[in-house]
Amino acid sequence: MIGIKSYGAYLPKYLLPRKLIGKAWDFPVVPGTKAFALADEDSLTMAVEAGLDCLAGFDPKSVDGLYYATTTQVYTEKDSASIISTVLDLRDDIVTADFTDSLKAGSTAVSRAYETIKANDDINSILVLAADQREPEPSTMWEYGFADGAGALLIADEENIPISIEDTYSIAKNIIGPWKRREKDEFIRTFEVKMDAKFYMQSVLTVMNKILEKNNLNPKDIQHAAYYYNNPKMHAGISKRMEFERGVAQNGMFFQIGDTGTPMPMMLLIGALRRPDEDANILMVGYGDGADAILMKVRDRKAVRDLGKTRLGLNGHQKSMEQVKNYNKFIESKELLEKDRYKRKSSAVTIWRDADSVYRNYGLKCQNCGAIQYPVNHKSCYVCQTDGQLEKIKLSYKGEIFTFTLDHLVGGAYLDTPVPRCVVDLEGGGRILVNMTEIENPEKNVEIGMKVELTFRKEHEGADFINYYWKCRPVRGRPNIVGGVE
Amino acid sequence: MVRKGIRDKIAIIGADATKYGELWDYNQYDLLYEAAHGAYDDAGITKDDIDAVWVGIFYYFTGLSGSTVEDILKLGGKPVTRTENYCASGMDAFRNACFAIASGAYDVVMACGVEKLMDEGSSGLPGFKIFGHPVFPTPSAPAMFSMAATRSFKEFGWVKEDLARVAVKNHENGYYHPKAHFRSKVDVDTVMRAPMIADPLGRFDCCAKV
Repeated sequence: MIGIKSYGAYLPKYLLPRKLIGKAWDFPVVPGTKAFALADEDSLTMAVEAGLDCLAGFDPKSVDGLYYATTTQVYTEKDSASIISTVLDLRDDIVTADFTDSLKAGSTAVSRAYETIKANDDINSILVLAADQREPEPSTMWEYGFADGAGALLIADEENIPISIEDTYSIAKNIIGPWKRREKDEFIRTFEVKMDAKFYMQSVLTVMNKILEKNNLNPKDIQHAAYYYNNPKMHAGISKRMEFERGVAQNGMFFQIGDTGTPMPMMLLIGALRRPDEDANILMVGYGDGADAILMKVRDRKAVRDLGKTRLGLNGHQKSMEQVKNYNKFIESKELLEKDRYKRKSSAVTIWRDADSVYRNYGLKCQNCGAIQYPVNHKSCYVCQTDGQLEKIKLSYKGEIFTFTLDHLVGGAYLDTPVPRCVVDLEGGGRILVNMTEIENPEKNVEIGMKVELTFRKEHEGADFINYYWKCRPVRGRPNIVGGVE
Repeated sequence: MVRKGIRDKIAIIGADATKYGELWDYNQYDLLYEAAHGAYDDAGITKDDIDAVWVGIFYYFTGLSGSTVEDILKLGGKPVTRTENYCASGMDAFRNACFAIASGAYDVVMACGVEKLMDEGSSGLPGFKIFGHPVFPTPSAPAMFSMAATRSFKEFGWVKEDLARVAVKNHENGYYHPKAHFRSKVDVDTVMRAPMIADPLGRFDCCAKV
């Protein structure tokens, strides 16, 4: 049976209270907060986080494919799925694809993953990731809505699947809005809002009704409905028109998190999966230039609830989120102000050759003395000096600070100074030098022995490509994936 | 293997140095010329007596080869070797010059070093744009040393005040030395209150750029 074997999510650390936006631009105040990613994050790094959360407890080498959905690609030529699959340490004989350009790309990727597995005997699992970092035009009402985040679903064909996928249904509609031209638009443009709302209602209601009809179900049979929306009124409108019972339509996100775009239906689904009903029928709908509906059924309620306990999902991230104190801090933390920040040099050759350390987080283990070390390009042991006895080993994503400094004399682009340079002893071995992100008042808050976890971030754009690498951050509680040092 | 060593095989017959400082109106020509001629005079020799030269230079804008020395001192085609070994570049020029004498290859050689960091034109130590791995962190020089300090504090119970007393002693030595960069005494309190460069190392714990 094909369905959802695991899930994961990512929400950035910081929330911008909407009243600060209102205050900054003299807008009518809207309640709630929205999640925003820092300058060292993008849709790709957020997808990696959600992927790590989703693969907790699984061997990444057992996954047969990776589909990635976003409207905010980091490259227009060069796919992201291949980068992400390397970072997540998947095999290379897998299927990969990027689904882009429409907000429904997330649900489309899930539908296509379902079909890929259904049609191929040798493809048994596909990790579907969706992430977006949509920049609203400053000083417009879109600032209230657009938010950043990522979702992950591991789709697999197994006898005991916690949630089965029963059916999918899609429609295509050519609607001008929202859109962004490749070169001429800095920000997303939107159609006349009332027309946009009309097409949204039409499309979502069509796919919902059609998939129910196809499966001889009526709205009363649906226990959880996770559908994209960018306006709470529209959301309520769908629920009313469908005559869903109270509590069926998942709406927990907009108030605190905002409109995360492509991953939103997935994230709403993940919210519902914390406390699913027994044998629940679930409807997930993505919208954008048409719509996709995916009908699912809870097969093993206990297994679903166990997933909720072993990964961060939405709730686990929400616990460690913090509100920024003022709008300036928000602007600064996204590096929206022009400043002199010089680029470091880079080399595509070096990055490619060092991929096992730079992306996959591998180190070396000495076969003579057992010492685990980093990075992978060494030939002789740091500890016993033995030559030619080092073998590659996957390192843990968690550790504690062995020593550190707060560097005020930084070269290059950094979010904030001083930059904490941290020597981290990873759990199970390996000592690694990384910068720290998501830390305020480092003078007070960084110390030897502090627990940290690694997070994949954008370092700089030297040599005119995006240079990613690991940083450490104060623990948010992301679980370890299998394959780390025992 | 019997270590032969270099004891009693070499003598320093003359030495000199320029004043250390920002020296805005000097370039590397002024500096090396002054130091070299001071050393010739101290030894009572002329440049014609010198067989070969070793020079310690690290930064590219001062010079990337021994020809920097020939360009400045006009030694007439004598061999010049440049050593580059981070902050130990000058010391290594001296060490290798010693080996050249001890080996019997030469009778008189000169070891020298010159650097004009302020000419690079920006604050901080230059070079982080071009050094190192593309993505591994590139801590500043003080930051690299300070990570050892942070851990030592933890291991041995030292505190920042212990480091401050080193700076107090060094400044006192500088006070008495006519060519020192800083010729003023400082107290522990001043050192402790100075701005941080890379915690726990503050302004008085780090070399000033000259």
